[in-house]
Amino acid sequence: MPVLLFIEDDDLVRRAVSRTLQGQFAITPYASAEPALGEIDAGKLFDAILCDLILTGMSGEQMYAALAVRSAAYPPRLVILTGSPQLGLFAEQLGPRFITKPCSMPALIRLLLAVSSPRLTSVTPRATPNVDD
Amino acid sequence: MSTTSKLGIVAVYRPGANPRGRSWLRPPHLRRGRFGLQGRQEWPKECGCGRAWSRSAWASLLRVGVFDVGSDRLELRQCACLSTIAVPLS
Repeated sequence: MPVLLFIEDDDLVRRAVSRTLQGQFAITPYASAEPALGEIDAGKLFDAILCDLILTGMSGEQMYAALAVRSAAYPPRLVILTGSPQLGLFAEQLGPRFITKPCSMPALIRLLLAVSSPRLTSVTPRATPNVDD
Repeated sequence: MSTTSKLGIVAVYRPGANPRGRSWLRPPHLRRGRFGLQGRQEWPKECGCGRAWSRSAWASLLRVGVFDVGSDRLELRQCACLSTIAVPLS
């Protein structure tokens, strides 16, 4: 079963979506991005990340940037769930990996299964630039 | 009290036997509270940004739509911080 990190700050949406996705994904839900990023930094692997765009604290866009700094493996696995379809330049980076609320749950599941494949077995961290060079 | 359907099935209603009444006869959209979210919002609705919206103020927010999530129906509106917040539709 693909492992899904789900970040959504509205309790009702988080609980309802988590419950609906439970049968198809092993879900780790979070109300904010910072502790979710902490899970990734601790080495936990996620096949897909579903993240709300506007969050208290770190936004979905900042989460994308933070993931991109850590590894090339994660940005293509990030799906943004948003109630505001005007994403501007961020939409170009995301391509089809954003979905607007309210959405069809089968469409969301299809998108998450698509980004989850192939399953993530390891993550290669990005090379840190040497400041002495 | 008993009810006979068009197929001849007789349903007997025994008050007190099921505190929810004849819930199995209700259409699915009225049964959502059984396994999903309770169809009742406690006001005010709070957004993660700290704003709190009373029932009357909620109606003034931009309506994003109705989100059907499994057995739950959520009404989505946009908070002043642009975040999407939800209340259950009852």
